[in-house]
Amino acid sequence: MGMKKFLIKLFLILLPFLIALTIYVIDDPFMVIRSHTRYDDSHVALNENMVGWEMYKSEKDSIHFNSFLMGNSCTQAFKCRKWEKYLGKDDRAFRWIDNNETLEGLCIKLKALEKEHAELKNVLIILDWDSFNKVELRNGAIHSMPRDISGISEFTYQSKYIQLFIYPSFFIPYMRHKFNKNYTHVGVVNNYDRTRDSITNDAINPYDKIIEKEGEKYWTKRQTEFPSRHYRMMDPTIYPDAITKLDTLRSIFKRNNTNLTFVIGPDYYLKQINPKDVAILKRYLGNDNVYDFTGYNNYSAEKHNYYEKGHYRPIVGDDILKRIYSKKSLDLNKKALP
Amino acid sequence: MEFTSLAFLILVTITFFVYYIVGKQFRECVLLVASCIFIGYFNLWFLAIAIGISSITYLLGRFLEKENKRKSIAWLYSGSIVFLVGIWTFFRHNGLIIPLGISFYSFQALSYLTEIYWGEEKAEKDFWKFQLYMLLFAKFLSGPIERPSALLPQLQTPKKFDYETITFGMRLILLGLIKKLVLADNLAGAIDGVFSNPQDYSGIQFVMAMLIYPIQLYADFSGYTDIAIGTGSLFGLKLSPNFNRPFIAQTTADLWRRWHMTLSFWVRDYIFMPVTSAFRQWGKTGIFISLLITFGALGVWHGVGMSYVVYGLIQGCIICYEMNVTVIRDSIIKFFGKKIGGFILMLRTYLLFAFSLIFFRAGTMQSSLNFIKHLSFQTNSSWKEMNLGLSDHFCIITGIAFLVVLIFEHLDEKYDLLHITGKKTAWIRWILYYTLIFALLTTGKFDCNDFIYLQF
Amino acid sequence: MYTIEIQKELGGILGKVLKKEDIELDQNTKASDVPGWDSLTNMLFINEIEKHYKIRFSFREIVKITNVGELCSAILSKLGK
Repeated sequence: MGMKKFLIKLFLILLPFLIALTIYVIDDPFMVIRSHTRYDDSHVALNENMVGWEMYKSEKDSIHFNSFLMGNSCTQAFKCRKWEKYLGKDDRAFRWIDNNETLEGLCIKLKALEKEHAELKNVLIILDWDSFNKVELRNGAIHSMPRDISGISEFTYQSKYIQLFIYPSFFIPYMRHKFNKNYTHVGVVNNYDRTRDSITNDAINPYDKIIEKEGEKYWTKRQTEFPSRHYRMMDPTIYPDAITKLDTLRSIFKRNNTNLTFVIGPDYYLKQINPKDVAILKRYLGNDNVYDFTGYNNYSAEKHNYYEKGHYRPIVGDDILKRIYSKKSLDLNKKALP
Repeated sequence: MEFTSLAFLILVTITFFVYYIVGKQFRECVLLVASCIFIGYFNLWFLAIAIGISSITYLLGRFLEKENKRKSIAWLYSGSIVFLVGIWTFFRHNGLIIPLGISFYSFQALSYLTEIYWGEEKAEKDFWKFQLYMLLFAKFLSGPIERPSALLPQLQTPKKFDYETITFGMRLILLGLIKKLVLADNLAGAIDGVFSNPQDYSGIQFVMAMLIYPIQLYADFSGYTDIAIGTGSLFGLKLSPNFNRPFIAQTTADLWRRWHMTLSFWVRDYIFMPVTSAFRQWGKTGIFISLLITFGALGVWHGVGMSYVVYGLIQGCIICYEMNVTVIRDSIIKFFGKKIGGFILMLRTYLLFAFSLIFFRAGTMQSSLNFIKHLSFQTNSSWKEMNLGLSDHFCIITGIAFLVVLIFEHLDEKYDLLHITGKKTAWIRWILYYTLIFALLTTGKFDCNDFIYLQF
Repeated sequence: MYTIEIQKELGGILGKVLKKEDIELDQNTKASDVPGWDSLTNMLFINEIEKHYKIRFSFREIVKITNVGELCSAILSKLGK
């Protein structure tokens, strides 16, 4: 068989991949191929590490951010503008997070901010009792650090996203959404309006509007999102590899004279972080800087405080901030176990 | 440029088209230019050194062949060996940067001159052909170490476009990419941590890292070799195999007939055989001494430091031991039967090899002994730590990938799968190709690492 | 001495080296045809042959031998026959 037929066969065999690649390049669904001015109107679940960084870089010259809201997706319960009310007059806050954030992720972000000569005056970190299980940066394109932080090649960086794009669990919902804009697949594509504030990168949860509209029905209609639960004291999860990262965080905060507030949020399943873990966190991050809201308490007992089992609502975040900054009693009337 | 890089893909693609478009008399030139670009892309000094060593080897070969006096030939040959070994030792052990591929093409040069000295080969008269023999980009980085009789004749006749050979090569490259990107690089993430941050891991995790490392190393290096051989095939060249199902070996001696074959056959033919011949009057003692010298040299080839020597010597000692206990091996087979007995011996061989690789991977005696000290069945919190931090998803992917590789290799040995795949009807082939490409694209780790043997 | 005799003697010597009963060899037998006869035991075999026939091979002569037939010829040639 000659070269011509070989080339035709090769082209045909590669055709589906070439089509997928073409769609990817034209659409730039993850917003990593071309530079963008706005990230708040994407219908694709974006890499929060990348979005936060790009937004920060584009705004830092005009807004002197010196306060950073960091941690995992539970930061959606905390709003930068509400946090600023407890800070200094000229303090401006910015949210830079990752879904399922890890200690290494925090270290990398803070070091990147230091490198950008950011003032780390105030840092509010929101995590959960199980955020210390995995210490390293999460795998996958959706958690990878931007190129100017990680230093990886353009080819490697883009390959990760191309790979994510053709993965069926992304590709199929994405193509469905392409043909039906109302189609939603949680964690992949959505049909919402804005999902983040264009200045502070605060999360805008579309469920707030739904709750406003439906009221109590919101929870009665979503029973499966609120499974049964029972209180449990968990085993320790902080090991030497996590301690190394906590030590790094301590050095960063000490170096920058940072006012740190470290919150372990209320878990819907009523799980209580182990006191040994809390002791370690306090030892490295400061006795007065670590706040534990896990276990069975006023927040966790009330299911109306949650959008679903994974995330609590801003009414919880607002109250937590009020308690911390007004030095109000942190005794949350921990309820007697049923 | 790495075999898994975009730059390499572009180079091979352009070279491929130019190679088959130009006239046959220019094809050697196309490959040589591509090889120079490949080597120079890393560092122009690497290219200069490689061309220098290759040119000197060419001249030495011509002189060796021309020289009539026996004594002069011996001196010239000895001088050549001293030069090549000296240059290799200098670069390898000077603590500065090691020119890429030097361990491989130096050994190729040594083999070439030795074969001329022994009268087995004629010196290559064509300078450019010889350069291509030494610098061919498909095998430059980490072998296979090609004997002159294997590669030089192939370079004499320009290759025509052969669909079967080319598609065979592409299938092999795909297989190599799966081994490297799906199996080796996913495992690397788990194992590297144990070696670089031992204080963070439990005893059982050390055991798992030790047990899994041979698989990572095999997938990495045999994956590289498959890509190298496959790339050669794209240009009609048949490069030598480096692996032959090493994990079915029932003795360490057999393992080394199946693992990094071009290197192990090289040390067998150019070190072990001459040394055993010299010591043969000492009987078994002579064999033992030869084994220790040979495998010690093998260890030194792999790296600077005692841990590499120990790695080599362990192999030699085990083979010496095995030579003396054939009775025990035969009893195991007799007692348990060929299948179960054979399996027990395979397991034993694998475990010994895995243990010896601690010295290879750790890189220093201190880290090796520290690693061994940590081996135990203790966990920090639960048996789930055995997954070395890999998610269940990755454990399943790598487990399946390893099984697929083992099954494929077993069937390939029986039925020559790679070739017969090419003969199947189009729809069967295409379903298979799409499945494999899809598996590679969705589960491969594209952000990863150099090939392990690049460091040599 | 005839090739057939040498062949038989070689079978005995090889058996002694491999600790097996007398091994039957023919002109085309290669090392790979006999379990246990490999690069490790080959030199022991050669050494025993040299002792038995009071001859000495050079290294290159040993390496060039590929089967029992060639080995017999090499022995005969050393014995001057």
